[in-house]
Amino acid sequence: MNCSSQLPISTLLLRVWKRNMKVWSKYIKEALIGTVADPLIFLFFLGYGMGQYIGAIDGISYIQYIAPGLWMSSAMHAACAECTYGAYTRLSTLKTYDAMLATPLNAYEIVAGDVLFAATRSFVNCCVILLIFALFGLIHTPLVLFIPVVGFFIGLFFAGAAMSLTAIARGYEFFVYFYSLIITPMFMLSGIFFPINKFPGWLEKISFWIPLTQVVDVSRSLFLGSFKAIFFVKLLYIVILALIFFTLAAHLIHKRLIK
Amino acid sequence: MHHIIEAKGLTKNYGSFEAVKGINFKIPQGSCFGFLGPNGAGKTTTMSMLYCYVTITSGDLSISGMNPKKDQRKIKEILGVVPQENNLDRDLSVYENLAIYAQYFGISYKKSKEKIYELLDFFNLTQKKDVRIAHLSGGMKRRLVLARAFLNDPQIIILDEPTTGLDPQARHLIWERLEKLKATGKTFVLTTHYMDEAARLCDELVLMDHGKILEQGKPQDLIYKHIGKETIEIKVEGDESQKIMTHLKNFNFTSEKTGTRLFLYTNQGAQILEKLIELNDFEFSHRQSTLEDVFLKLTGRTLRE
Repeated sequence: MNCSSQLPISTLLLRVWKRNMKVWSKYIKEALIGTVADPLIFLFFLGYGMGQYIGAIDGISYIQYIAPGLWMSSAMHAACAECTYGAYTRLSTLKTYDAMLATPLNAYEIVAGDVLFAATRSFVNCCVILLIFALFGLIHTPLVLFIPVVGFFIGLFFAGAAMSLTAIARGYEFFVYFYSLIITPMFMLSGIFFPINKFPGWLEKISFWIPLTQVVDVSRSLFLGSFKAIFFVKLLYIVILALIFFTLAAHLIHKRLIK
Repeated sequence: MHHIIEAKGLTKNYGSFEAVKGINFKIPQGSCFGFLGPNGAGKTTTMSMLYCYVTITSGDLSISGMNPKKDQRKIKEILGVVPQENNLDRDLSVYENLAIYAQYFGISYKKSKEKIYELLDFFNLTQKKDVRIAHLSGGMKRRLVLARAFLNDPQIIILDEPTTGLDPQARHLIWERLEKLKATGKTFVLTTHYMDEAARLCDELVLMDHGKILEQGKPQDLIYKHIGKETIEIKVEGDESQKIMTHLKNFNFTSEKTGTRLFLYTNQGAQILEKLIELNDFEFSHRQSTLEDVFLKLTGRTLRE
């Protein structure tokens, strides 16, 4: 097995990315509604509903508190949807990967193209949310322009992680475990809805290492208009994890496809 | 004669299962070469090794002088693959399917246009160019998969059961198109369960079973060698076949008995028929021998699952 630095990947991965963009362009409305509407519904119902009772957290209104986190969760959901149900359909049901393998593309490039595309979806989702937030008067600083970039990186991470599971999935039912046992707990533990420093110590530690927690924190700071050098460390952490999972996914998919 | 594909001791194991057991073959450039055999014979595995979809366990394989262990990308650039399943892009139109696929070979959207129109025309799909895959008939989908395999102007085309499940019209159209393309010097590697298809398209073929090559040659030569020119099929009951054999003992033929059928394979059809008519007791038919007779004789009549 090659180690990560020697994965046989070339710019041919962009050909896979282009194919996905083409297909996506046909379903862009459905795809955006699915992953943008969800966090917005949370935002407005929880924000206005719970906000009446909660008042302020750390000195900001509840809706302002949860908005940057839900922004990141949208990026997460877009990448996960693409690399679970989307990728599994291409791998197994439609045999799109097999069709690609009969061309100069190899399995590593196919995975790389899919993961890059999933992160692109995360980025576009974040941009759409940016527009919606601006319309609702939630935006007060130009620093929020960096948030879609953070969304791109967390998209890379979740795409790689989801793809690793897709590589070993034997049916769509398998993803129920992924969403119920991994994604939803992460979603609740990442500090989107309440501060993690109120958790018991051990849970706070777990929460701290969850990648989503780190980007929620970055997103919230940017949203409130502060930029810190520590952001780069946090992003580096995300990028390292993303590379690890991508490498794992690429090897697993290669092993599954090429017998 | 130049051989574009050569295999020596080609072997593939899946775990402890030996799918292909050290086979040898040479495929002349510009010919159509067939792999025949019952299910599980190792045909698809062999074909898959040609286009680097299955790794080689041992032995040597050379494709246009290249080694599938090292030169996968270069090999795939000169190949066109028609897989058993129509793995088309469901969400795209006929035209888009071809344009996106051409793009995988590095042919840009603009550059592929001319080639795509040419192929759509050649495979009678021009009218359907903007139709989604879901709205195509089985025959159209198959023709589209065939068209797709020619986008990169391949030297070698791998056809894995190209006409399975199609109606006779669609099959004849595909055969005729493939023959035209073969005339342009392309090499075809074909596997099929239809013996009429193999007899019509293949210049040379191998008959495989249980991972080994049983026999190899030109379709006509194999028929003459194993069967003879003609086949007489007689409906028999009880020990009637014995009676017939005794009656015909002065002729040259080989025979096979299955259930209620007695098969006589011979080059002396006319004389045997005269003698059979003398008996005036049997239902029979007389026909030219086919590749199917060879196939059943060499691989047996037991069902394979």
